[in-house]
Amino acid sequence: MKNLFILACLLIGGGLQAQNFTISTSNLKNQHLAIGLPTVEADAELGDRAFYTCWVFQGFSTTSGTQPVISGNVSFRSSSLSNNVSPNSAAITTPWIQPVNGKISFKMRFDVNGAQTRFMRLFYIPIDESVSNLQGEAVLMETVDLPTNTTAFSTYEFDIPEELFNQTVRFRISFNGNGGNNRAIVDDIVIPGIFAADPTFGCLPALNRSDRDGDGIPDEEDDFPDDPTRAYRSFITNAEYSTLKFEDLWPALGDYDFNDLVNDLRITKITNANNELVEMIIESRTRAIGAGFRNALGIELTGIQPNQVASVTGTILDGDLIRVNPNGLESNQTHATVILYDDAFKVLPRVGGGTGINVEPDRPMSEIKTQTITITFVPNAVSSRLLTMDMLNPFLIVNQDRGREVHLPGKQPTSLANPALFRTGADNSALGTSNTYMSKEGGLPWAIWVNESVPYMIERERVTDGFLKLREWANSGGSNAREWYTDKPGNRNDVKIMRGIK
Amino acid sequence: MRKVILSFFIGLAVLACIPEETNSPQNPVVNNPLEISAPMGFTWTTTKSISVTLNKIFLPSSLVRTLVLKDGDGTQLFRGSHDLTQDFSLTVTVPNHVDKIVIEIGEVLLEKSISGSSVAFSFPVIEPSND
Repeated sequence: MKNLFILACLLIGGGLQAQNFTISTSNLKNQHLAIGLPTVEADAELGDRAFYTCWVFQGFSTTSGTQPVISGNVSFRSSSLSNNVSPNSAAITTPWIQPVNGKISFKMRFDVNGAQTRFMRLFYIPIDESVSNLQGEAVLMETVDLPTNTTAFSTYEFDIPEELFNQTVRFRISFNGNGGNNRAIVDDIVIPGIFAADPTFGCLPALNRSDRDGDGIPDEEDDFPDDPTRAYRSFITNAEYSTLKFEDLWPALGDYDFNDLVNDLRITKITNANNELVEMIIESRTRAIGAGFRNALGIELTGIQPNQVASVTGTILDGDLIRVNPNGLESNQTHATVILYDDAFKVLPRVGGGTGINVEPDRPMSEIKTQTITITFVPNAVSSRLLTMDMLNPFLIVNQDRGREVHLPGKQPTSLANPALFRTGADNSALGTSNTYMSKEGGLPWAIWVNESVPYMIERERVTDGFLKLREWANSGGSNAREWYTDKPGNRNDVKIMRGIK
Repeated sequence: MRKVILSFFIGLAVLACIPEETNSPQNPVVNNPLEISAPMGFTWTTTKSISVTLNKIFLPSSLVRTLVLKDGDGTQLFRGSHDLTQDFSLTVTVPNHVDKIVIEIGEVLLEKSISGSSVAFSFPVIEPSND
């Protein structure tokens, strides 16, 4: 009977106002919705049902080619409506939503005429915490018989029952019928309410998670749950330390035991909820000094301006070599530059005699201590994206000569390096290019940084005699033996390597 | 006399404090002590830069979640907030031997092999149960 009533209304071109739903042939969209009311919508214009996050389209796809649509370029299109019973054979189910006062609306038509019976049902699905997907039994809200002798579209509107306001539910629109093989075309679905599904947890209802400091990061994901200025701690280098090794005779070649300074670094960044840098923490462990020079160690934060740093603590600078700004950075640098210590012997004192420190297995070993340097950034000044291992430019200052810097190959010197030293001795640098700090013959480096804590050579043993695949790696331009520094069988000759110095 | 002896010992002490310069530039060295001939452009880096992207998803409003990037060894490369309705892109540094990148967001776990210098992820289609 309802079917006939609707059909009559459609024939006279007007609208139908039933108990709690409305059908109209008007093409005006969502006039009933107050401006600013939150809605969850699906209009098919994204072109693929997969783009409608947490929606379920069973027996529905999107139209393509010349298939009829309702509005825009694309509509949702069901399979043939031949199932007379199942509410899931051709059904569109919304994500979890917190409905507000308003009307669920959508447009619907058939692609062709000629079916016997067609009907549409609207359900809501409450939360049932006794089942794993939290999805309770679907509750029927309305059944509407559909006209089968027309392909004109109608707009259907359904009042949201008051008892559902601010609950968390899903809605399902299902289509069924007997006879014929026409399909439902659906478009412009609008649900007044707040999207309440969590796509990162299987589209289950989003939980209200505790956030004590109110920074927007839930406590269980917040490394500093009671500090609104800090949210995440992450490592720039390997969490288990990285190893930096230097030859310190640049621009002359050395003995290539790569132990003139061996320094492990673990660098951590602390960021806020907006991924801006709050702090950078450098844990430095000077493991060996295979030289007599009083070398210093610094790190340039390439791309970070000195005025973006508020303070630096933990450096060991009590000589005359380094001049610092009030914020603790080295003065007169273009990029923020921190000198960790001005003399390696201050952080790894000599015990007993010998050529160096911790480079001869039969000599007393000096205890390795951790020096912690904290760089605090000006609030909201630097994106954490700017601080990766690539952006770090560590360097050694040779024997208290401030202008004599040794960097990793491919890196640039700092503002305080002496340009007159380049291309002298064995150095083949072309400043401003990636061809820096490499030797004229063989393209040898004076520094190397491995993002793992690795052992180093006994004094005067060539690095290639301890790390047996280093030569193959270098000669291949890095293509072969890429794990030359790891402890895999055949990679190391332990006789030439200092062991147990961590 | 006492001053002379004192000066002698002070001189000795100063000499003893001067570090030994075992690797002085004056020492004779061969031109290529490692017998390596690295090809032009090789920078000896044991790491590589990888550009990681994740496509946005379509939602009625922004949805911020914690995104964690790891390499195939489980080493964390990034941990921070991300609005799922925006495209994500970040360049990370990984050891040369790493061949896989992993993204974790809530229960979503995405894993892809590194191809060249980039890895492109798409948020998976999640169709919750309709029963």
